[in-house]
Amino acid sequence: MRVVVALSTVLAISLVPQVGLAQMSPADLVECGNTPGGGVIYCLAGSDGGVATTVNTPSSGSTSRSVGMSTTRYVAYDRLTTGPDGQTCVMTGYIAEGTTPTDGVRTDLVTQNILEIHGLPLEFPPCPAQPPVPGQPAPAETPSMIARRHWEQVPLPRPQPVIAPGRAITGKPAYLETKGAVRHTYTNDTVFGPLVIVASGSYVIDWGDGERSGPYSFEGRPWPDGQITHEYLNVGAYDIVVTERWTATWRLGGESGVLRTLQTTGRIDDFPVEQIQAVIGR
Amino acid sequence: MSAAACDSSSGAERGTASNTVATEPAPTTTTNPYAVPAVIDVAYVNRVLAGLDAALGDVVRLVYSTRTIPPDAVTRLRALYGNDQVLQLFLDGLQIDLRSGFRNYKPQIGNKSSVVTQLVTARPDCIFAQVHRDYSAISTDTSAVVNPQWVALRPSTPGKPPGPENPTDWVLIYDGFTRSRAQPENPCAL
Repeated sequence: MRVVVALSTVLAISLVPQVGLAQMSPADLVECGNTPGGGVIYCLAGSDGGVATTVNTPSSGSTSRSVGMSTTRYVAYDRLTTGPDGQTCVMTGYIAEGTTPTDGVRTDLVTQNILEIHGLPLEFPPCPAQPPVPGQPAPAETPSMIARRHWEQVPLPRPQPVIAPGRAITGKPAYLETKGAVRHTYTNDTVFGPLVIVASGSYVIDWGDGERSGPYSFEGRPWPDGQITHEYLNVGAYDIVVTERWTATWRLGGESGVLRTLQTTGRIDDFPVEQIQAVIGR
Repeated sequence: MSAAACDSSSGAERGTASNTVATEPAPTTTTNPYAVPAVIDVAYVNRVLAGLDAALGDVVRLVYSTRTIPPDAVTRLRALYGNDQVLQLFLDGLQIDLRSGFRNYKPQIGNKSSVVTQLVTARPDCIFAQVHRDYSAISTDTSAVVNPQWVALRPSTPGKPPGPENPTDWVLIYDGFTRSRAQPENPCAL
């Protein structure tokens, strides 16, 4: 194709990790689209890997190509949107550096406190990843998006509750052993370096008789040291549900944040509670 | 092909009279011009592309008149693109034109045209075609326009009636060209 453009004005869309224009040369740039007005969108030749994209506006009257000074840099941010299931989720959007997106994830303390007070979610799941489009740059993602996606995939410990010796006696404490974990560290290699997710779990117990207890940020242990106990008042068979709520923090490439709460569950179905009656024998 | 049917948005949204080219009024017949025919041919695909080009033109005129990308523009674009990456590329292009002050834009902005030069795949669930793009209704300088380009379409959400943002039954899942200028991998074959 005949290229009659000069990169007299270069607008840089810099995806993470950011690449300064000073590092770019004309050879790094390839045309990857037309603007709505028929101009050319230039991308970095290597941006299929999600490194960086450079965009220019064309001007006629020249046959030379030279990289000018950057005027605007676009950065990736975490954009709140509605997923295919109609639920709010987070995807990667791009915005001019220095401007504040109106649809971004708010992580400031004031917002977080307001959301917490109103019982609203502090974090949202990542939107489903879309298949790459042939010929188009692969989407670059922020460290927080990478952390979010990884968090959704890690195999969280699942409680495997047990109450020895397999039944309980009314009026006597039953010692629930959670047999799970309340802290786990996950690591994963990413393009930004090692991702570290520190997860903390706490147990909430539904004893099946209308009583609930928790949260417990420690393991339930057997008699006599266990601290997660319950006294049933009536005989019967109870479905006990142990829910472990996982919160997590992440660190990656000098950034850090909080991940949404996930939960795992374990059950004891039809747990028998019996009664012992003292009998005076002869 | 400089304009197309089915623009139902208001003139105020599209901008002032000085920068708006009126698109043709919506058809008055009850026949849906975008209903998928038994055989999808070039004429049908050209008709769909004209409808999409007109809807995209409305967004361009809205951005041109407001000198920003309002939420309504993004809503409209979401109705036209079925892939966030392609949508993002269009938004990037819009921002470039916006920041250049719409250099080379004509005083009255029409629609770009997309004319099929090769129909690669024509199925009720996916269309992939090579097209020739003409921006002369928008810009006074079209020397940088790349041709040929390719478009891929898939049906918009099943059961959802076409809305004013997208009168057609189709959304774009590919729109542009590859860096090597070779035909892209057929999205309909993926």
